[in-house]
Amino acid sequence: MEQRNALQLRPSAEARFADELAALKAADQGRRPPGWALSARAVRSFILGDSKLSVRRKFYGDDALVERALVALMSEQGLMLVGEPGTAKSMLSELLAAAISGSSMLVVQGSTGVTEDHVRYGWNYALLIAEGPTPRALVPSPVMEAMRLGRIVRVEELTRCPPEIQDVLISVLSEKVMSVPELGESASVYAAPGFSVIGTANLRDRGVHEMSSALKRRFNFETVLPLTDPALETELIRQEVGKRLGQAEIAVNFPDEVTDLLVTTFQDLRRGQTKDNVPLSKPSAVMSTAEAVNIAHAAALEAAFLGNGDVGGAHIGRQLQGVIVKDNAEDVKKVRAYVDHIVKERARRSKVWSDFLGAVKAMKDES
Amino acid sequence: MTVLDPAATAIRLFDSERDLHFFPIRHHSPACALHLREALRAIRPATVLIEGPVDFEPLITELLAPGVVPPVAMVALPDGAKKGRGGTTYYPICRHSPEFIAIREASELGATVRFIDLPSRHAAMLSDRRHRPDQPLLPMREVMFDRGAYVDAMCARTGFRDGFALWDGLFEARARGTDWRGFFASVGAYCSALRAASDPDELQTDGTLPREAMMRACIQDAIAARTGPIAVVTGGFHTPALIDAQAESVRPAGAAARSNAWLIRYDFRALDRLNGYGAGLPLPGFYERVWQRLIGDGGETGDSLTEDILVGFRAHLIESEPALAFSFPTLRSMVETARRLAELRGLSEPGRTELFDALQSSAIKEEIEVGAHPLLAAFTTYLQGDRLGDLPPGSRLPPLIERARAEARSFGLSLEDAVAKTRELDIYRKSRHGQTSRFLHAMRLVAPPFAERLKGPDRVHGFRADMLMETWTYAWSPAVEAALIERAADGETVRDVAATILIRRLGDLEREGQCNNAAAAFNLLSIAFDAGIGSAADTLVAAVSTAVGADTNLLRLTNALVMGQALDSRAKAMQSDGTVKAFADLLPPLLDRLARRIAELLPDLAAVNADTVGEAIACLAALAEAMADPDPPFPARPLRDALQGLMAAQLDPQLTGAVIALAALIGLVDEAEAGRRLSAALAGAFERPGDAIRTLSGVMALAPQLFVNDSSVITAIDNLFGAVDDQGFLDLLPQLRMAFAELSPQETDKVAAIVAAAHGAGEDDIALLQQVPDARVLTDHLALSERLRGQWQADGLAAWLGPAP
Repeated sequence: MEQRNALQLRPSAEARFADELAALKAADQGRRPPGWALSARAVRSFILGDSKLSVRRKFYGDDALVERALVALMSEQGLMLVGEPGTAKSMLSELLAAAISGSSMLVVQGSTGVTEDHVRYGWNYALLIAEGPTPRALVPSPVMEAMRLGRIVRVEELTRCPPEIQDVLISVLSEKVMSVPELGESASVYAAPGFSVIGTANLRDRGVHEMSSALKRRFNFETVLPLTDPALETELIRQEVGKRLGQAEIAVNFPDEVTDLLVTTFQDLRRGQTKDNVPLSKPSAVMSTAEAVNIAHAAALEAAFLGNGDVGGAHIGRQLQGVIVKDNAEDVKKVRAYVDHIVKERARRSKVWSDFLGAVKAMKDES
Repeated sequence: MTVLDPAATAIRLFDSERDLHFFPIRHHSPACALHLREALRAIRPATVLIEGPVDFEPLITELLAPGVVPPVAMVALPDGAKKGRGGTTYYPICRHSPEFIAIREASELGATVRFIDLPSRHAAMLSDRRHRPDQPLLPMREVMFDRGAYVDAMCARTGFRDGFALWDGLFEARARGTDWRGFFASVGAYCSALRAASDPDELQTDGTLPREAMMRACIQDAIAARTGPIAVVTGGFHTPALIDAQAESVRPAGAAARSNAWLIRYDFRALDRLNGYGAGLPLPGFYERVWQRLIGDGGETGDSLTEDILVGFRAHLIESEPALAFSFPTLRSMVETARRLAELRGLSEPGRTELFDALQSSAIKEEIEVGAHPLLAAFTTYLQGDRLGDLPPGSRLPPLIERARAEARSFGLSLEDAVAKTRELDIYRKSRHGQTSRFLHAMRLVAPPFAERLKGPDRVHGFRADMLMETWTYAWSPAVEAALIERAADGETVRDVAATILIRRLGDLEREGQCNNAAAAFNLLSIAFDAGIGSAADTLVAAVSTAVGADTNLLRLTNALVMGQALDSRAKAMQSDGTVKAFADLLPPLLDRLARRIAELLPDLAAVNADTVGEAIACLAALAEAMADPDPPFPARPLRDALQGLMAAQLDPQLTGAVIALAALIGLVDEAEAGRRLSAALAGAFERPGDAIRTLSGVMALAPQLFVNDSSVITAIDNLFGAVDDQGFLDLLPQLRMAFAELSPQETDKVAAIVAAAHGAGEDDIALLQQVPDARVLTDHLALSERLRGQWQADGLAAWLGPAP
């Protein structure tokens, strides 16, 4: 598929970080595993940053996880990233694919509607009727393409695919071959070096299927946890929002204190405990960093288009409601308790917090 | 991933002009140990100075004695006079401790070994911000290796995840090199940087500066008395402060103090626990394997350390925790993963971190909750190791251990190995067995790992108080010695220490605001009795007496009475022994006081309502147990009077039943009278059948036989059922079931027979009923009979319903 960056809402990772990848490739002295575009260490630098080559850090939190993931991909195993929604699993898989294969475009987007055609191959029926089963009539799946090209195929939300579709991957991962009986007895696609599968999955959400143990055995599992370090989360949110606003050429004044408020609120509710170890009831809504970024982004847009360009606590307060109420009424009570006890206390000492309190309270009264 | 520039520090570490050589080490580091061994063999020093408390010097000879198998520890006990100034001092030594290697090499080279740190009980060694006064003290604390600005910055730059991984990656990975100068230069440079980034105020408050003054003074002395090269082996953190030592040679005050220092057996588990306090590298079992491999010990199998450990771990799991064991292909991929990770991280071979990463990556096929997984925990325990140290027979031991051993032997307990043995004791009839039991009870307090009682009279409830035999298992292990060491400051005999512990627990009760808890205080007293601690009897009896006076909780008081009674009967049975006699004399006044106090509080039960009646019933049940004794060791009169009063009062229905039952049990009223009262209570409640049932369950809780033996009571109940309709009966059913659950099957049968007889049913009818599979079948059949009867009557066949002619 042609890439037309200017018209894409979100260019692929390899397009967004083309300079960094080029710089890493030029400086890469390490041995490349067969089929890889970069050495493992260069891929590590691409994801975790390398100040010498001005490569930005893109994944925060667990560096050892990235190293383990790289080793899994070098071996015969597939890589399965699991964890709560919004913990950057998909982003990590995209970055790994972009750096290792030079392309992150081979994706199966998992859902209940995924059929075998999406994982094995389908047919162009006009050609199939006209010519019979020929290689020309065959429509390969991203998995088959990845095997042929020796690349990484990403399977997003693997556990949302029906179990029989998931299990197609078992033989692909162990035999590294996909047979096409329609084209003749010996017609098979063999995986070229560099082929591997990165799956992302949520093991506990509603509407997911169990993974068979045979399939589990062919993957190395890595749990991606939410960020626990407020400083890291703050940095990440600031970077991400800056990037989004930059793309849209919007300039706002986003004070540090406001970012702190956002991060503190999220960390408190996510942990079910404040920094001073006051216990809270934990809402069931997903309080991921990705959600925090969305809130910050929306708050900035509101400030830019409806306000004077200064983002304040009130903007965050109004957006927070959207995240919390998504799921259930219980959560609203929990957040109300948090606001009434913790936020009120903080509002006495800080303007940003008191704006935040005011906005949340105003919303509550409406609802 | 970076190599430190050793040049700047290297020149200063090895001063050939003064022939003075500094070896900065990290405690329990195999890499330091190996390089140190090579260095000492090359330098051939005449004097080896080691960072160790100077009062531990006499233990060096003991450490070198044949038969000493590390892990062992040098310990110094807190001075009894200065309580609250820190716990026991530990200086643990493994096979791979650089200090141990230095001592061994020095002895082989004929060099003099001196310890150059302040005495273990010096104020500077104790002054440390500690949370608990009895926390162990470690002269070799080295938390600065694990955290701090420099460690964080280095981790961020090199990509290692924490201080331990950083150390492993920078230094343990270089263990196999031959360039010991370069190695120590790197350690020195690293430690200088650590030192530069640490807070000078903290160094003063944690005692580092005075300790280093002592070390410098000792080095000066050694230089003055030199006979050849001098090697100085200290924690790397101190080295920068020692290198430039010139004129100053003033020892801090108190440097000559001596303490009671001992060499004891130690074990890896205890050692790893000390790591929580910054004792050095964690997981000693892992580093010992590393060491064995470095020195080529333990048989070359051709496998790598990684393979050895992972294969061993898998075998261990299959044997001990099969549910966690992983398959062979997983094992293979784990080894591969560990290797590749090491390669990615620029290490020559996988270290501790890589092993954990490989395990996590390959064997755990599910989400991991914040770093916690049973498999990772099992691996940690496995790498912790379970090696036990040993000392040659006849080694000098701290007095408490010596005496405990001697006493155990005098009772014929076998201490030769750590295998658990069983002993049966006839505690009342054989005085020696009684003494052994008391010793074992005391050891339960002082060193819990030593013994465990499997069977015997229950002290708390008086349950099985008439049991004559006790069964114990016991085994002498290093864990017992370690526990005794922990307690060594509290006294020299097991009994003294046990007394101290009990008095301390009493103090804990007071601190927790429990000094009015009669049951808890009495429990301590009965422990003291079991352990034969006569010396604590007076204090404890006084405390119990106070508690009894202050306690307003009737349940605790009655429980205490039960305990006291059991104690009294056992004291009488054992009266031959002197320490027991002390208790036997003290108990009667105490029980007297207890009984009167209970009598005083009994009338309060009149205020009990349906919510609190459960506890009140429990009190009466305890009282029934205590007063069942025909000759109780306490005055029964006041209690009987108080009960008499209760019987006249208006009570909660359930309590009414229980009080009547108790009165019958202790002979306050005879059974016939009890039956009458009960029938009256039941009859009086016919308008509130729920209350009647509650009265009944009050009786059942204490004396079900009262109900069974008196048919007038059963009749009263039966009449009650006559007064309710079917729905009313169903409403009562759950409560009834609860009440009748107290009956034994025979009793149930008996009640059934009485009720059946009252309704004109014979034994045959009951037998017929017993064959009915369940209630539903019975209902169906009854309905069918009713229909048939109606049909016959309608058909004019009523005659068929009569008895057959």
